[in-house]
Amino acid sequence: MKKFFSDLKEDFGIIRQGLKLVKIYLGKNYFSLNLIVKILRAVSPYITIYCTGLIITALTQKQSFEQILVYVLVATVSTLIIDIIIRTVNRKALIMLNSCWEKHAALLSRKALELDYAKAESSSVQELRGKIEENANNGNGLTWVAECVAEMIACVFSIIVAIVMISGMVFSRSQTPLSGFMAFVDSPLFAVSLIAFSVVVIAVSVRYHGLSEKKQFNIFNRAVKFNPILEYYNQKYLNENESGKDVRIFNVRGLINEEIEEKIHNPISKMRKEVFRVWSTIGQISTVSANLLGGLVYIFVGLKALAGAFGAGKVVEYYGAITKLISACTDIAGNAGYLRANNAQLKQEIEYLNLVSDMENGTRTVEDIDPENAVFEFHNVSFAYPETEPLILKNFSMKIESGERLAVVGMNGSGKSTMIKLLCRLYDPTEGRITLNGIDIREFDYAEYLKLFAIVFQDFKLLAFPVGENVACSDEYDEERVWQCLEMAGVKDRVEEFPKKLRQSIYKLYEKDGIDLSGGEEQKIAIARALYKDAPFVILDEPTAALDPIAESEIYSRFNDIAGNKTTVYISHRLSSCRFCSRIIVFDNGSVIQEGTHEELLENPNGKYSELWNAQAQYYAESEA
Amino acid sequence: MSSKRKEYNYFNNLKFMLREHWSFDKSYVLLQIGLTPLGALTSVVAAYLPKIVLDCVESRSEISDLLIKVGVMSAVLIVFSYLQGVLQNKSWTGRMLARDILLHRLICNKVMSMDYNNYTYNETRVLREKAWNAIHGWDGSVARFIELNCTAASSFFGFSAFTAIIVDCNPWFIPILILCYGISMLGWMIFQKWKDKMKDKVAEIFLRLHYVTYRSKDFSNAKDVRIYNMSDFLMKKIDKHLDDANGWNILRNNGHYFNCMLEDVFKFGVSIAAYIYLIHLKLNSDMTLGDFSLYFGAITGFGQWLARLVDSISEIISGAHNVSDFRSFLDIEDKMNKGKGEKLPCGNELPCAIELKNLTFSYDEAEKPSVDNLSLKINKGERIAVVGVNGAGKSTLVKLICGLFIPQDGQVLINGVDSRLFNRDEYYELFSTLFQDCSLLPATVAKNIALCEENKIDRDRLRECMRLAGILDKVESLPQKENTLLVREVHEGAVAFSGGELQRLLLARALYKDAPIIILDEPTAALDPIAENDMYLKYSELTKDKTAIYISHRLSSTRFCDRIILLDDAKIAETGTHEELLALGGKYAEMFETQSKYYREEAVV
Repeated sequence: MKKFFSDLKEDFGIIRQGLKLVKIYLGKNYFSLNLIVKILRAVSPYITIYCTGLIITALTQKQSFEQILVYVLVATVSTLIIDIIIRTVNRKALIMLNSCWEKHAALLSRKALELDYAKAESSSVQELRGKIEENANNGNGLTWVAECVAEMIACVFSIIVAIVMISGMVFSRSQTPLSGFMAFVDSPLFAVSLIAFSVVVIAVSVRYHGLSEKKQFNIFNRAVKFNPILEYYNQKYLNENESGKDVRIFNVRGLINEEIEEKIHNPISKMRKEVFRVWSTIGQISTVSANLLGGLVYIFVGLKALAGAFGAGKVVEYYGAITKLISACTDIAGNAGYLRANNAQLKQEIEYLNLVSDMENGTRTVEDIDPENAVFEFHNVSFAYPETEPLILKNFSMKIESGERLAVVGMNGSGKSTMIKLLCRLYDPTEGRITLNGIDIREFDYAEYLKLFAIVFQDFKLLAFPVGENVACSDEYDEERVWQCLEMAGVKDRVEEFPKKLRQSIYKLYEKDGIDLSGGEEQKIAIARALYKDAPFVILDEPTAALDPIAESEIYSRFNDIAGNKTTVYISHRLSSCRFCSRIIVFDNGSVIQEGTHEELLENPNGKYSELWNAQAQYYAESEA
Repeated sequence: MSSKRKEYNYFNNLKFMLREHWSFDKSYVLLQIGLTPLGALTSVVAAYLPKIVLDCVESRSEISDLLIKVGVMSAVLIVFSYLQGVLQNKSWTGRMLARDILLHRLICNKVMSMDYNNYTYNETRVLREKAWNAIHGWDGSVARFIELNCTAASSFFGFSAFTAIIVDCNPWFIPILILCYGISMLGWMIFQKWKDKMKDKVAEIFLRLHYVTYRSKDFSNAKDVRIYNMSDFLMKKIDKHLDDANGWNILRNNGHYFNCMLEDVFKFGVSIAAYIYLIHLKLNSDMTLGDFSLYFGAITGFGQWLARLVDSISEIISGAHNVSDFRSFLDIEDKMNKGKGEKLPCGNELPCAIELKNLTFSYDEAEKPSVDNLSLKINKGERIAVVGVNGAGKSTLVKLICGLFIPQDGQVLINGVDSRLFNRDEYYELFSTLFQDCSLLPATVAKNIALCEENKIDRDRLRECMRLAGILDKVESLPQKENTLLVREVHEGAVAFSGGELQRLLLARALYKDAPIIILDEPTAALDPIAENDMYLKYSELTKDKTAIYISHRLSSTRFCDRIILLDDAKIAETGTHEELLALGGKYAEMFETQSKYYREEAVV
C-alpha cells in the first residue's frame, strides 16, 4: 500500500512536470483551451439526449406541435452554438498542437547544442534521445499528458451530469403492484445489481487496457534502437553526394538492402507484430465489454419501462445517459492507464531535458589573461576516450609558450588531434591536468575559455548556409572583414564569382541554388572562419591536406599574416610546414619524444623526426642535383 | 528536370498500389476486402437496436420478446465489433509495415539506383522530401491508399443502407440532404486543392527546418558548433523556420475551421428539418416510436455516412495526389544505359585502355565548363598522375571517366568502345576508386571494406587488403577485430577512426574491389610521412596489371607514374614524365619548385 502511494506521488510529480513541458512545447494556453473543448464536447450530447427524451415523452403524450417545437429548437440551437464555440476554441488549440512536434525536435536539438561535447557524444545520451524521438514518432510522450488530463477532467463533468440525469431512475417504481420477476425488476435491487455488474465489467476492461498500454510501451521501448540508424541512412548515407558515389561504383545496393533489412525493417516488423498481438488479444476486451453493457442497459431500461416505472421518453433519456456514464467511466480509467504508461516516456523526456553537463565549469573569466603572456602546460596528462580502454595520451607533458609557432608532427594515431581536443576541453584528461598560466583550465568559465581559440579541425564541417554566415558563424556579420578573411585564406576570388557573393549558399541541401565546393575550397573557407573569429590561439589541424601546392604555399607564405602575433599550433603531415614554425614537437604513441627546431631535430639522424622528414623530403631533394 | 509532380490517373494509381501491396503482403489486401462490409453492417444493426426496444415498450410486449430480440442483436453487435476491432488492428499493423518497409524500400532502392547526376540535383531532393511526406503525412498517406478505397466502399454500403431506410420514410429527403452536404463537400474539395497547390512550398519549408534541426544535433558538427559558439545562430535559424512552418500551419487550420463551421451549420439545418418532419408525421399518422427513432437516426446519421463517403473520396483524391508524388520520385527518369550493354573487357583485353575524346562537361549552375574539350589517351596498364591547382577539374574528370556524370559533349572510350554502350552498372565494375571525401556505412569494418553482403565477404582477401592498406594492425587491435562496428552516433561502442585510419580503410576498400581500372584521388592526404612513403613504395604492387589514375597535390607521388597530366583551367596544359615536365619549365615545374623548396636545406622562409 505504501508503495502504491509513493508510486502515485511519483506519477503526479511527473504529470505536473509534463504539464509544464506542455506549456513550453505547445503554448501557454494550450491546456486550458483543450480543456474547454473537451468539457464542452463531453457535456453537449446530454442536451440532445435530454431533449430527445422530452420530445418522445411529448409525442407519446400527444402534446401540441408548437410545444414540441420548443424542445427541438432548444436541442438544435444549443448544439449549434456549442459546436461553434468548440470549433473556434479548438482552432487555436489545433494550431499549437500541429506545430508541437517540430518545436519538440527543435528543443531536442537545442539541448544537444547546449550539452558538453563528451556528454553529447556519449551513447547513453544518444540512445535516450533516440528513444524520445521514437516515442514522438508514435505521438507518445508529450501531447498525451495534456490530452489525458483534460480528458479525465471532462469525464468527471460527464459523470456528474449523467448521475444527475439518472438519479431519478434507480428509485423510480411502477405505479401498480407487481409480482414475480417483474417485482424484482421494479425494485432498486435490480438497478443496484446492474451497477455492480457494470463496475466489474468496466474494471476488467480498464485493467486489460492498462496492461496492453504497458506492454505496448515496453515493445516500443525495446525497438527504439533502429531509429538512429534509419535517420543516418535518410539524412546522410542515402542523401549525401559522397556516399552516392560509393553506392554506385562499389555497387553497395545489396549490402545496404541487407543492412536496412536486418537493422531497420526486421526490428520494425517484429515490433509491429508484437503490438498487434497485444491489441488483438486483450486489447479488444474494452470493445466487447462496451457492446455487452450496451445490450444489458437496453434490456434493463426496457424491462423497467415494461414494468411501468417510466415511459418511452425516459427509456431514450436513461439509455443515453447510462451509456455515456459507462463510456465516461471507461475513459477516465483508460486515460489513467495511458497517463501512467505515458509517464514512463515523459520521464525520459524530462531526464533528457534535465541533463546537465558533467564538465566542471569554473567562474574565472579570461579577461585578465594577457594573450601575449599566456602559457599552456600539460602536466602528466593521460587520456582514454570515454567508454574505451586504450590510452591515447600517456603521461603526457608539454608546454605551449605564448606567441610561438608550434608544429606538431607524428605518425597517424599518435594522439595529435586528441591533444587539441583536450586543450579546448572537448574532453577532460583522465589523469593529470592542463594549466593556463598555472591555473587549471577547468577553473575558467567554459564559454569564456573557448573565446581563446580558433580551431580548424581536420574533420571540420561547413553548413549549407550562405558563405558569409559560414565564415562569421552568425547571420549578422561585418562584410568587409569576411572578405578580408576570405582573401587571407585565398578563396576570395572564387566567392566573388558566385552570383550572390557572400549570400550564396553552399551545397544544395538547404538552398536550391547552393553551390558545391571542392575539398580545397571548403578548407579555405574553414580557415577564413578561424580567421574571422580573431582569437589569440589559432590551431590548425591539417589545414592544407586538400590544397594544391600553389595554394598550400600561399597559405604558408601568408602564415605570418594569418598567425600575426597569435600563438599558433600547426598539425600537419606535410613537414614542409615545420620550416616556418619556431618549435617542433614530435609525438609518438601518446607522448612527446622529441622537440626543438627543425635544424636541431635533424641533427639526430636516428630520431623519429629525421625518419619522418626523410621519408617525405627524399623526393624533393633529388631535384636539387 | 523539375520538381513538379507527374499526374497519374486514379486507376493507374490504384493498380500500382494494389500490385505493390500484393507483392509485399497478400493478406493485407484480402483483409481490406473483408473489412469493407463489416462497418456498415455493424451500424445498421446498431441503428435498429433502439427501434426494437422502443417498439417493445410502446406495444407493451412480452418480457421474453424483449429479452430475445435485444439479446440476439447485442450478441451480433459484440461479434461484429470484436471482428472489426481485430481486423482493423491487423489492417493498421499491415499499413504501418507497408509504410515502414515496403515504401521505405522502394524509396531506398530508387535513391540507390538512379543516375548519379540525378541523385545530386536539388530537384531530386525536393521530390524525395515530397515522396517522404507523402508516405508519412497522416491525411491520405500512400500506405493508406488501398484502405481509403475500401473505406469509401464501406461508407457507400452504409450510405446505401441508410438511404434505403430514409426512402422508406420519405424519398424527398435524399435530394435535399445530398444538396446540403454537397455544398459542404465542395468546400472541402476547394480546401484540398489549395493544400495541394501549397505542397511544394511546404516541402521546401520543412526541408530547411529538418536540415537545420538535424545538423544541430548531428555529432559530426558538434566540435565546430562549440568552438565557434554557433548554437545561438543555429537556434535562430530553427526558430525562423519554425515560424515559417507555423505560418503554413495557421493558414491550413483556418481553412479547416471555415469548412467545419459550414458543415456544422448544415448539420443544424438537417436535424431541425428531420425533427419537424418526423414529429409532424408521428402526430398525424400511426408511425411507431421505434420508427420515429429509426428514421431520425437515419436522417441525421445519413449526414455522417455521406460525410464519411465524401471524406473518404476527398481522402482518396489527396491520397491519389500523394501516390502521384511518391511515384513521381520513383519515376525520375535516368539517362544512362540501364539495359543490356556491351560485354565488359575481360581476359587478355585487360588492363583497359581509356581514351577521352573532346570531353566537355559543366555543372548545371556554372557556365564555365569544368572539363573543356579534353582529349587524352591512356594506354593499357599505364599509370597516370593527374595534377593541377584546386578547381582545375581533376575530380570532375575522374567522375566522368568512371561514369558518374554524363559528358555534355565528347566520349569516353574503353578499349575503343563508347562507355555509353555499356550497361551503366556493369560499367562501374571496371573501377576501383578512392575519393577524397569519405562516407561510412553504419556497419562493421569488414562490410565497410568489402561493401558486400556478409556471406559474400572473402575473409582472406579482406585481411590481405587491410594489410596492404596498412590498417590490419589497427583492426586486429580492436576487441571485435574486423567485426567492430563503425559510426559512433549510431552504434554504441563503435570505433571512431582517425583521419589517417579512415583513409587506409578507403584504400583497403578500393583494393578489395580489385577492378581493372584504379582511381585514387588524394589517397595520402591524411597519412603521416612514413605511411605516405610506404604507399609510394607499394604503389607499383598495388596497381600491377591495372590502368591507374592517381590524383595528388603531393608532387612526390608523380614519380611512380608513367606519365603526368597537368590540368589547368579545365584543359590539359602539360603532359610528360616528371623529368620532361621539369625540363619544360612550365606550370608543373613551378608547382614542384613551390612545394620542394621547403624541403631543401637552404630554404628561405
